[in-house]
Amino acid sequence: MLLSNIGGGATVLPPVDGAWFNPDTGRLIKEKIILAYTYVQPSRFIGSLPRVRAFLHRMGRQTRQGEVVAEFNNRLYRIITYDTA
Amino acid sequence: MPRHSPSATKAEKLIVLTDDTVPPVILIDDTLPPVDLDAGDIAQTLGADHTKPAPKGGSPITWYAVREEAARRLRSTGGRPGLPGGDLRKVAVTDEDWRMVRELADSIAEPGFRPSVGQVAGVLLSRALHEAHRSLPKEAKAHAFDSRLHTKS
Repeated sequence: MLLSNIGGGATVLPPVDGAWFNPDTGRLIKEKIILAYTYVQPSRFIGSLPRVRAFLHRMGRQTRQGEVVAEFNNRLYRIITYDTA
Repeated sequence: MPRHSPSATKAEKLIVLTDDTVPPVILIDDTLPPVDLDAGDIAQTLGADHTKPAPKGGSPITWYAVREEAARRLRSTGGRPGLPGGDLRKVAVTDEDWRMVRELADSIAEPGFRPSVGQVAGVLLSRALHEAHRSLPKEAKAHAFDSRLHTKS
């Protein structure tokens, strides 16, 4: 819903196998990941950043992710410290 | 359209077809203001701890987007999927590049969907072209459009 609001639509890809190395525990965490993306109008995206932030931080908190990464304009944005609820 | 040649006589008048009655059409979405996209500002607004360029050649998200687009564009025609509206053309490709396209095609394939190496190359070329064209300055696009308009017969 959030991505559709920003880009007028969104694509969700089937689950694929993902892995993430936890630097604190030294363990490799494997899980099914689902990629979702949309093509955006930059100004609309910029205007939606606070909502994107709220979603990414809430998702990271509630699903207890060690890290949440968003990609925009060929850059990766890594979120490790989440906003408090 | 008549061709100008050294053997042309004065009686043979070169005719150049132009369509000056139709002004070039430039499509610009000016309903949205231009935006300065500063990575640092975006990172701060997102509350990101770090930001770095996506891996060269595309991140996993980019790659899966290519895969999804390939599946969409190479729709099945009963046999192998075909690229609608595409014509066969000769393009020089190095062995190394072709090997990489083959690897990509193999990674895309799944039961019931197995595009050929050439079909995947066509999708990748189309994506790269659109990407490059988007980055052209507006003046260059207008010039190219204007040139086509005045040379097409």
